[in-house]
Amino acid sequence: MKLTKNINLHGIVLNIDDDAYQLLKEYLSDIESRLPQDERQDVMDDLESRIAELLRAALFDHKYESVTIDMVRAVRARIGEPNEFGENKRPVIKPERISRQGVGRVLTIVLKAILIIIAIQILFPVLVVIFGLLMAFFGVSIGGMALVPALGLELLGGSVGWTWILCLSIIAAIGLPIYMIVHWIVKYSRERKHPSLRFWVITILIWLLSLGGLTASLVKVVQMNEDNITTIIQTMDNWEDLDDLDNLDELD
Amino acid sequence: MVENIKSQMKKGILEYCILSIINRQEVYTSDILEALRQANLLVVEGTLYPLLSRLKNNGLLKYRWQESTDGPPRKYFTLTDEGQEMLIALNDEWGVINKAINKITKS
Repeated sequence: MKLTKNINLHGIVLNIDDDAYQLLKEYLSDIESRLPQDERQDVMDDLESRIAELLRAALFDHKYESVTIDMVRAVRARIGEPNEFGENKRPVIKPERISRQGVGRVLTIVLKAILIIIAIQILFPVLVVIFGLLMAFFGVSIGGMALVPALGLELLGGSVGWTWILCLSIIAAIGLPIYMIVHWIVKYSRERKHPSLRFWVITILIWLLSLGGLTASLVKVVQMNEDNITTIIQTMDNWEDLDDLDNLDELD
Repeated sequence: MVENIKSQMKKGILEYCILSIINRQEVYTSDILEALRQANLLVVEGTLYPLLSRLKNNGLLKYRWQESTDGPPRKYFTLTDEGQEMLIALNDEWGVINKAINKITKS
């Protein structure tokens, strides 16, 4: 489904798709800016008339009711690129009018703008995706291993250390909701759309999985600490027993 | 490079060719385009419109509007007296150029 417009091209009314209209408008405007003042109106009238004629013929040939972007492209290829009509006469900032300090300032502003655009449009969304993937990886791997003992959370904990597993699962459990919110903001600000239902379902499932992993590793760490405390207490008791024995020896 | 030179050569003689085509009979823009295309002298149509406008502004061409059943009213071009004089001068000049080029390339 496409939005269409009605245009009057040198007396001919045409129904045209919105994207085709934008392309045609830019094309005509570009040509117009390249024509000398004294022949501009004349040439534009001739061009519009010819374009209207070609588009009407294309509509008739294709049996379409609305001009498509492909029809405009075909007309453009036939009429020629705007540079065939001369140099672009749109006003440009003359470099000699800008002082050296001014050039530096303009350059700084341009570079800053480029950096901001790159940061917002490219780097930030990429970083968000990488972050999301990392969090999903932690969540799925630790949670999966906790829920399916055969996958070997015990084995991993034994080799890597349970404290590390606990840290990663905490990061995943906190990181995934942050990722969901940031992804939502980025998507809405760029496309004015909310994330799909599939995104929410998958991410929440991974998050729940990571919570499972977090619980499993937390239980294990607490259990290990309890064991350690018991061992320490036992060791201390043993030391006290040894002291008692020493005292007995001294009494002897 | 070669394409650029070829394009410049064609552009150089285009005005002379347009005057010659219009001199044959009263013509509509599409007729001029067709004649130029058949002679392999025109790549894109857009080149023609500024030239027609320039020739008209210099008093070499005139046109009249004629209603069309297929679309918008059409401009039909004819040469003015000044245009015909110009064409005679260009014919002579072309003869001179043609001779010169033949002399250089075939010697």
